[in-house]
Amino acid sequence: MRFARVVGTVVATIKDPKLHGEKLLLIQPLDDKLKESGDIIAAIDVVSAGPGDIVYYTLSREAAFALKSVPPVDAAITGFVDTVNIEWEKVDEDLRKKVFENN
Amino acid sequence: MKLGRVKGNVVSTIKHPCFNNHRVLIVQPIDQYGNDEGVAILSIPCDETDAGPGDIVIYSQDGKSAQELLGTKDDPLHSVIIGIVDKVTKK
Repeated sequence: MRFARVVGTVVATIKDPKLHGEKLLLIQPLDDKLKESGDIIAAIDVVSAGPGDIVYYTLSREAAFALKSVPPVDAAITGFVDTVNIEWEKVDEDLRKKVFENN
Repeated sequence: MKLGRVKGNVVSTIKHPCFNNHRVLIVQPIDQYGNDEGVAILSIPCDETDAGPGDIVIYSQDGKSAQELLGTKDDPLHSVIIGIVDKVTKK
């Protein structure tokens, strides 16, 4: 899963029947500082997100299970992000030494 | 599977039901020396590991194992933290 910001919508009248009635949104993948990172992709939406919302999305085959109809998709928005808590911006140096030292 | 370190967590109230009572953690992939490498992803700790911010972990990005450990085979689960790392030694 990754962070993303909803940047637009996709309207497609002719598409796979399993996608009828489903919302398709354009999302911009983000890193944990919510900076743009990666190409804009289309994803199905199950949490009724709107443009500008910060969400997280599921990738690969499992994304299709976000919908009962299991459509042929590989990206699905599966949650809104309320808050992002970063407690360890840098690695815990003592732990890093304990785990990785004497290599 | 990859090595990673848990940077923090994400609070989310409106989400797909399969994420209820699961914690969504922010995992920074790390290399063999523990230095950050690549973009942070989101993952869910399986009950046994109970990983939290600050831990060094192993996580999998394979949906099948995520579904088995965290939910049913009909859930959009993709990534799961499967272990907390104590020691890494390279021969």
